[in-house]
Amino acid sequence: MSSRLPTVTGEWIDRSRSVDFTFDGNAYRGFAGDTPTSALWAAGVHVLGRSFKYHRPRGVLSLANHDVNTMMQAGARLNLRADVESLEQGMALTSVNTAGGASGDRLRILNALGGILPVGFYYKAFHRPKALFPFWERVFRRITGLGTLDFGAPHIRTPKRYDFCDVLVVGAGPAGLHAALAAGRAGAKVVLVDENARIGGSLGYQRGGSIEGVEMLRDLERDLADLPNISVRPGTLAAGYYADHWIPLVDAKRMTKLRARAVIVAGGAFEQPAVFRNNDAPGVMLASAAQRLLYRYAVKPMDKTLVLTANADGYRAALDLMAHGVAIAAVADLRADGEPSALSMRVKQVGIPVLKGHCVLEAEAVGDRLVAATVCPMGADGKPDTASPQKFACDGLVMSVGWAPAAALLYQSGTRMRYDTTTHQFVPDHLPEGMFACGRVNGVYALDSRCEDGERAGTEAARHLGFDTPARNFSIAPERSSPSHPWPIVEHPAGKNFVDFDEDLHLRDFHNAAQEGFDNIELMKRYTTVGMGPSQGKHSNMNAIRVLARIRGVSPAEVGTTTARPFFHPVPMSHLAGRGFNVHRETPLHSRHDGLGAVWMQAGIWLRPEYYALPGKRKSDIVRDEARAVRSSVGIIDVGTLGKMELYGPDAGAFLERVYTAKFAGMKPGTTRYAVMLDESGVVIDDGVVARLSEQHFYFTTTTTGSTTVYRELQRWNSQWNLEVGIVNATGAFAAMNLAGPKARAVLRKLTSVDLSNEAFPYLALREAEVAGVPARLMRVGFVGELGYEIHVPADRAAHVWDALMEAGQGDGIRPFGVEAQRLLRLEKGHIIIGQDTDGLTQPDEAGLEWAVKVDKPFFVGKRSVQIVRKNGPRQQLVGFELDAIGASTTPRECHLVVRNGAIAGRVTSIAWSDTLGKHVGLAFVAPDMTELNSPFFIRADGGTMVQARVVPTPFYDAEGLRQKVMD
Amino acid sequence: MKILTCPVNGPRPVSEFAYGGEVRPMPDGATCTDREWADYVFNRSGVPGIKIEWWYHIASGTWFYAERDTVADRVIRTWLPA
Amino acid sequence: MATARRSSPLAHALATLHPEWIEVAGMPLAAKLRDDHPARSATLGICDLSALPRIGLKGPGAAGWLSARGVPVPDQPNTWSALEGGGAVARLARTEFLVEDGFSGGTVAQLAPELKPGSPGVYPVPRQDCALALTGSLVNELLVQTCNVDFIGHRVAATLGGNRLLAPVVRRHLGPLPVGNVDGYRRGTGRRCRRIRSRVPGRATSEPPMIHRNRRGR
Repeated sequence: MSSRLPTVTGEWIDRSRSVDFTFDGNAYRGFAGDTPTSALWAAGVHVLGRSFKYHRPRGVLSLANHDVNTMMQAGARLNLRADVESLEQGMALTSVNTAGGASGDRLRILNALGGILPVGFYYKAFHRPKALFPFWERVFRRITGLGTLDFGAPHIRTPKRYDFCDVLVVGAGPAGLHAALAAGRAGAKVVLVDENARIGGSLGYQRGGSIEGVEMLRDLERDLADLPNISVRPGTLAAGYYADHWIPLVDAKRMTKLRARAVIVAGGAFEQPAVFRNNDAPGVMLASAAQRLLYRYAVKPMDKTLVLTANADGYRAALDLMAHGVAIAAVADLRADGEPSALSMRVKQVGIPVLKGHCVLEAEAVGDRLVAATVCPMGADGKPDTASPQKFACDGLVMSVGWAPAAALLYQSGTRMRYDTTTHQFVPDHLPEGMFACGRVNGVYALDSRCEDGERAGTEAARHLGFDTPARNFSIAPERSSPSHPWPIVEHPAGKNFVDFDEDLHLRDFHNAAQEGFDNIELMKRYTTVGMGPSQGKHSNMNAIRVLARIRGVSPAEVGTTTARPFFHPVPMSHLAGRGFNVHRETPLHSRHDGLGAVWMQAGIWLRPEYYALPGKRKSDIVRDEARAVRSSVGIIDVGTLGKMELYGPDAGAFLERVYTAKFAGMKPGTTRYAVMLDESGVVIDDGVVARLSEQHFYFTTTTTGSTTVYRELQRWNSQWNLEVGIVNATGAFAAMNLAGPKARAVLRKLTSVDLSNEAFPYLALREAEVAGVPARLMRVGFVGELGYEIHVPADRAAHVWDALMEAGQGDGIRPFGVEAQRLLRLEKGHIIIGQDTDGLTQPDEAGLEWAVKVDKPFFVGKRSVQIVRKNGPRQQLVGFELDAIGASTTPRECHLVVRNGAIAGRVTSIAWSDTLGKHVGLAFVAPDMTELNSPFFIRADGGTMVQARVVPTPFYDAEGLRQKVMD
Repeated sequence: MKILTCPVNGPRPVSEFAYGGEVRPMPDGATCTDREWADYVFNRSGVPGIKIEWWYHIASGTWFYAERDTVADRVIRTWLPA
Repeated sequence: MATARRSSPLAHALATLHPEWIEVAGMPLAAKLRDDHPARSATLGICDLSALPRIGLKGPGAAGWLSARGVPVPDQPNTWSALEGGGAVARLARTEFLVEDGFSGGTVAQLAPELKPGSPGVYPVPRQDCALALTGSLVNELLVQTCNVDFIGHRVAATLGGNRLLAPVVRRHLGPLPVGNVDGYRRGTGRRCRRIRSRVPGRATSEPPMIHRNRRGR
């Protein structure tokens, strides 16, 4: 039997478009503009979900996403709030946390076991016997989940964006609308957001049986449309507040990160439930929920209702319900004096009995639906007088007993709130600069007052930003009567009077928690889990504070609130992910490597070829072949990821001597020198090669991952020293390739006219010359221990030079090689890699770099630390080692420990099989007394196998360095 | 997110910056005691209050000072080194 | 040996779009793509202008060095001055400058040989930019999805870092482009990357920004 009403003025549904959907396998039909809840309620379905712990049947409570009675799942989409979700054609909805659907949930037996499942029971039970704990764990995981993850759900990208405005207004109810108009008329660029599908807020549904609110709303909408500087965004949630007015706005499609210059919070208030036995029976709902059902979705919430109230809003709701054919059994007003305004007269005039000073003792449900409610007088002490109960038959019970401000954004911005004893709610006491509040969240409830309060906030915000709008005297009249009752709570010996519907917490749970000592608001929250459910306390925190205040005999102000954190409602992961910009850097030769079959690896933020794949060949074989080509003929590698710095000026040499450990000021132009950089504690942080091009021009390299940091720190040093130097980070401006192998000279000779003979261009020299017609800087460096030239050219001509070298080297079998081969070749020479063979504590002496440290310089970064550390000697020493030939299964790897007498004596930093040498070689840290040449030590490899190694001198290959230095 | 005002580029989101620690004078490494040097290298003041800090605008390579109240997380002023 | 051809960092990507290449300052520039359509670049277009000649310098003497050679120096960081021939001088920081010629300018060619190490307080900065022009009515929407800086109403160059791409961004009117051997040019919005046949006079109605992704990655 449908509860759908004939057309209601201002309804949100489009009756010309019907929508078919299913819930728990049953088919239903609603309209476009419906939510699943409104369509189901219209179709006569009242059990929309099951509660978390006791699996009690649940229906509509807030219809505002302030509770999760109606949480559902649609396919891969979890955590759907059926009360506010848009109903779509073909939606297949299922209830969550049930065994067999919402109406037939087999787990409802837990409701009967409530007595042995008190608050916090899981802290005390199921630990013994310990062996059974995994079983209980599995049981609980199954029955406490809210939805089922689909691991095949696609990754969705969303067009996340930024935005900017002068004034952000959060909430488009009467206060927010007036605030936006005031700021907009003053000339500010305004963004007005509301989480609901349409703007208007309570103007749309708290009508009190009249259409004045709707007409006001239409006028305001017209006014908004006249101002192009106001952007109205319904269906948009302001999810949190971050520093300096940084607000994420979340809508169905994306997240917008908005920077405002001022923020007006007009987010309203959450209507609060009354606490009485069985207040969670389907049919019991907040008055505003009933009004939303009526006016947004044209759904009759019930046939006959009791109204429990303590404010004017309840009387308005009674008139609204009556106007649409709902019978009102009675109005029970918690207040002994009833309602002071004309509303109480209007209610009496239409024949509704009003019981002043009465509360609801309990609701009675049969077959999962409310059938009756028992009312009794409420004593001045807040306790029910059970001597004279009155029972009313009804299938609905609307509660309007109080409000709690939606102040999360205010809290997050640092607003200090105070408890106001006339409205019985927290209100802003001190707002930070640029923050404004108006309307219910500000403790203002009368409609006229809310409009004026909104205009005040909008004007103040505009003036704060310097817009020329005249200051006005706003006077907001104090509320005639409190919109909230300080104690809408009725105890009952049989319990099940719920405070937090999400977490299934009833009144007794709070007393139990306090008895156990958890009587501080923070402890009570965590012990009971009040406010920790999916609605994060929107409908429960205020009552919990009231309960705790009474238990402790203090005022709610003294109890205080817990911290509200973003996000206000759940935000989909796809919105947070956006597109996922993941930046990486490519050298100018990237496409050449692609064409050669490069297998890419990350080196910091860069991509480098690890090796070049060949069909049918294994990686280890390819790497070995690449290395062999370098040693026997010629190879070429892209080293363009190295940091490259230009250093100019008369103080350039002096600057280098301060930041590196070696001496550079006396270098001759056309020479290069190895450079080690320490931090202030003397730890090795970077290395490179310094080349001198002229008296006032140096060019030096850094490690790939270090270039950004080195450049940054060099600039900082010079901002303090003020030497006459210019530092330029040219890392991306130059490409660099290393041509290495016995045939390197022969290949290069074809492309350059500079004299490449050993006498004219010795080891460690630098020459500026054209290579393949491109101006280049050529350096002879050690690198992989063969005759080699490092060629630096401008990035835009790199491909041309690479192509020319590859062609020139064809006859000699030139082979591109990657990082793996480079590592192997350099390890054979004993070259260390900063960050692999050194760590965050390695001093230069420990890494065999003492020769590069010139303490006779007056100053360099880290000098004093090195001197201090030297007094005690090194804690460890990096040595070269080799393994005797062993089976592959027990080869140690990097970071395997050196163990002596059962204690750690060091670790392996690099290790590789060398074809050239026919053995495993590597570098390891060992204790200082273990460094004697040829002495054995043990490495603990996988599975605990102890592998014997022997200390040997480095370089392992070509110890004299003849191949790189003097080969013709 | 927080806005920081670069003396050259104006107000920018804090993600455009890198923090460089509190500005502290370096003792003379040639004359100070080992203890004084170690204190400079390893110890930092955790006392909340108004501090002068190094900040770096990454995109433009600008180092500057910021005077910041670390309790309120409020930047009082920013200026370039001399 | 023949002069080596420069290539744009985007050469490889552009090759897949079937361009018609022309040569500018020794670098192939994609003057027209197979799927070019005027409506697209009027809505949202992107064009590779890496080929334009550029020079960079920094240091306490840089401003004076430029002025002495008749280059109009902007006096505030993050501002730019126009050059003859459609180019611009941008002041990137207190003491750093980027000079870029338009298609018919010769300032860079004149300055480059004189910019050597040795001038006191003048330090050459190699420019190997990937330079992109963004055009069209939706340019701001694109920027607002990639950059956390408010460009609307800003008529300046801004050095910014959005998502770790460090880029000087110059919002300016791109002047007339005599494109290679084509017989005309067009002034205005969003027509940058099509083959231009006739001259269309008129004011520019919006000012499309240009983004340089500086390969130096400073």
